[in-house]
Order: sequence, then structure tokens, then C-alpha cells
Amino acid sequence: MQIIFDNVKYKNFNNINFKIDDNKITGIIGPLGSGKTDLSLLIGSYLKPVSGSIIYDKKISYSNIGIISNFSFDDMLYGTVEQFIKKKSIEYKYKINSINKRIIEVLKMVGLSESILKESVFDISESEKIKVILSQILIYNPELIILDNIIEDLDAKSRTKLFKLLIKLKKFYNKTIVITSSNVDIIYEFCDNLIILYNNEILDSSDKFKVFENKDVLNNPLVMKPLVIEIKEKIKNIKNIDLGNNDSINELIKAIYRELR
Amino acid sequence: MNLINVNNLTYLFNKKMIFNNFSININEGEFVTIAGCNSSGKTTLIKLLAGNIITENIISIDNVFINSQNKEIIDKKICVFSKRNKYYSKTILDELILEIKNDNLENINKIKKLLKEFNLIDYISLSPQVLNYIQKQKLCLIKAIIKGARVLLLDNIFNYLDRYLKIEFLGLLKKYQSIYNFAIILTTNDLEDSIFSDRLVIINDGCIILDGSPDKVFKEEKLLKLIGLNIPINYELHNKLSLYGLVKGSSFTVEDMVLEICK
Repeated sequence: MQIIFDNVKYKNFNNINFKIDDNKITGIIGPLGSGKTDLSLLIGSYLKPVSGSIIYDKKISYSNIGIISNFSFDDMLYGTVEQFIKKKSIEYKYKINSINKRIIEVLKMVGLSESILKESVFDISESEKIKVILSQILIYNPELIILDNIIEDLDAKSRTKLFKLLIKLKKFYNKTIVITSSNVDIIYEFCDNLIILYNNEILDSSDKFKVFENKDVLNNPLVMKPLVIEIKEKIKNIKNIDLGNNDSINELIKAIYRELR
Repeated sequence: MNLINVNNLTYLFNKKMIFNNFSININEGEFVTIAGCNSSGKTTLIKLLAGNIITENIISIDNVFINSQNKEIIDKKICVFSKRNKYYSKTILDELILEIKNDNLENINKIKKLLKEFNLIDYISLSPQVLNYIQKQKLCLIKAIIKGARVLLLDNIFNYLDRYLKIEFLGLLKKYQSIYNFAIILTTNDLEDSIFSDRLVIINDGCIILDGSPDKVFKEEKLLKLIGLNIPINYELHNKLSLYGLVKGSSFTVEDMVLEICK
């Protein structure tokens, strides 16, 4: 699903323009209070712009957009985990006959055991809640998935697992995924595109490697840069060697070994 | 001096064993980070220490046992910071007066002085709801100071902050810790939060696996990875660079590593 923001105005956002590509993982990074949640709710069409327009290339409805944010926890009001996971699928009239089989598949995908289905939604831990909400979304199978400030709550292992799952969803099921976070290093490693947000302004939005080639972003001390980029730039300043595009520590070390040894 | 004593704690929730013979001692003025992967019992431990889950004479804080009779005494000694701190008062001043239950002039001046130090003085007659996340945490810190809390319990509050804000707030905590000598217990699943603490305790399945200074614990990278935790990214980089013989020094800062690479 391709989404184009055309001169969108909402609250503190003034005429913002950017594009979210189809079949890509887009990361929105910015510090606390920079407008990440508002932007993700605008993308998910849960908020409507005051002026300007948000153009989707497909028909949108609630059943075609899955969003996990802090508000999602407010839906957990009663019942067991199983009832919660089924709730939205029933609301959206998803085919019910194969649902039990699908639930088991999805639980395996997100890394939960089947025994959790019988538990009350109040008795599970914060991180399990996230995984349960994600299962609910995966079952009704929307095309656009938005994760707002969720990855920080997970430990490193579950986070890597989640990203592997997201990459799989992107590759094989043509999903478009939007993730907001304040943790630049992780977003830089796993996303395809980046949107840099600061004080309700979009500093840049494009391919992740291109974003940090932009001098305005790179030289702005207020923008958090990934450690990989920081080291790359410092080496460039001292030795005048370009290490190329590396998105993880392992890649960076390979490049250093190649260029400097 | 010993401030918190947990002695052979066993706690079951929904027939699931969360803690089995768990013991820990925390000293006065110590800054302890308790890290563990998801569902390892971190939040439950905070709830137990705060007396939200009542145990009988197993945990003692400042020589007072937590049990059903001592609840009010314990409440005065601790202050819990959580991601969703709830404030119900009309104004920030009311919220803070509520903690000391005495609005004489001396106390109000003390509150005003603290609010000034935290740059919150402009909000004094506004509702706590207008504050942003970090300001709410600062308000909680002021609360802890004015009620003279001996222990601050921070339940995973740094998640949403980027590195700069995190370091700023940790520095603030350190500064006031040196003045008021309270103990800080911080739970997290990101080991980067522990860089300022004196002691890092790793728990998994309700048992202590590692206990020591952060630098010492980070050496056990393999074990940490096994239970699902990553060491801070600059430590990871340092370890990998030294594995390939690209750096030989022991400094973990980015500047030092880059200088050594470029030699």
C-alpha cells in the first residue's frame, strides 16, 4: 500500500509532504514529543488532517490497517486471550471456520505458547500483551501494519524475532510496515526507508542510506545518529576513507577490515 | 549499610512459579539495575518491593518488614516511577503537598525551590496532565525527595527515551542520589540503561544469574545473549573489534575506538 502525504496540516504539523512506499518497512525516528504517535495515527487514518490530503493507492478500511500503539492496551478490557485474539476477526467478518488453526500458527510466529490462550488478559505481562495484540492483527491480516513505540518494550531476543517476522511478512505477503521508535540503531539496522522527525517537522524521508548522506541531517546535532554512521563519519574525517553503506555492526567491521587492513 | 533485605522469597502467580528462593541485599545509597528478558519477573519484583503485592515478613526495607500491618510505614520509604505515572490532583502544587500532608510556609518554599531546580516552576498551578513524559518523571523525583523516600523503584521508564534524554535523566538521578543518599533500583531489558549504576543484577526465571559491576557483567556476552539480552552497542562493537585485532585498548568510547582504528 502506497501512502502519499500531500500538504498535510494537523495540530503542530504544518504542511508536511512525504511518501511511504509499498511493500517496504519504513521507520519513523525522532525523540520523545517529536510527533511520532500523531504521525503514525495519521498514516493509519485514525486521525484526519485539518487540511491537505493523505492519498492511499488502495481502498482503506479498519480491517485493512493494523495498528499497535499504547492505545491498543485499552482494548484489553475483559475475557481470555483467545477471546481477545478472535475479537477483531469476528468484527470484520473474517472466515471463522479455519480460525483455530490459524491462531496456533500465528502464536508460533510471534513466539507465544498455546497455553496463554486460556489466561485472562489481565494476568499476562506487558511484553506478552504486545505479542497478543500482534497476533490479533496478524489474524485479520491487514495490508498496512503500524507499530507505534512497541519495539522498546521487547528484549533483544524477542525484538530480533519480531523483525525477522516483519521482514517475512513484507517479502512473502506484500505487507507495508511502519515502525516508530526512538531507538535509532535498531531502526537503522532493520528498516528499508527512514523518516526523520524533529519537533513536528520532517527533516528527510527516503532510503535509509540516502537519509544519512543528507548534509542537513548529518550535521544537525539534534538528530540522533546510529552508532554505525557516527563511526563511519569519524573515520571519513580522519582518514578520508569511505566505508560505504553498512547497516549493522558486523557489516561495519567487515568494511573496516577490508579498507584499513 | 543494608537497606533492603529479601530473604528466600518464593512467589507463585496463577500456579506459575515466578520466584523460587530468591534473595538479594541492597545497600543504602546504592544504584542497582535489575535486568532481564521479558516475563523474567522484573515488574513483579518491583511490585513486591513496593508492597503492592503483600508478603509476610520476607522483605524488609530500612529495618521494617513488609506485611499487612506496616503498609503505611513502607509507603513513606519508597517511591515508584512507572511508565504510566498517574496523578489525580488539580495542580502540581496540590500533588506535592499531598505527599507531605502539611502545607505550612516552610514546606511550600521547599517545594518551590525544588520545582525551580527542575525547571517546572512555571507549571506550579497547572494540572499534572499538561506535563510531557520526562517532566512527569521529574515530578515523581521531586515527590520522592520531599517525602524523604529511602528507595526509588524505577520500573522500565527509559524505554521511550533516546540516548541523550536517557543520559540526561540518569545524570539527574545520580546528582540527587549523592545529595539525599537514597537507593535506586531500576529494572530494564536494555543493558544500556545500566551504564551509570554501581551494580547490575541479571535475573532469569526468577533467579539471579549474574551480579556485579556493569563492566564485569558485560564480559559475559555469550551468556547474556543466550537469555535474550544484548550488551550495549558500543561494548559489542569493542568486543568484535578486539576479536579481529582492530583495537587493543580497553576504552569503550566511540572516539577512542575510532582513533585506534585510524592509527
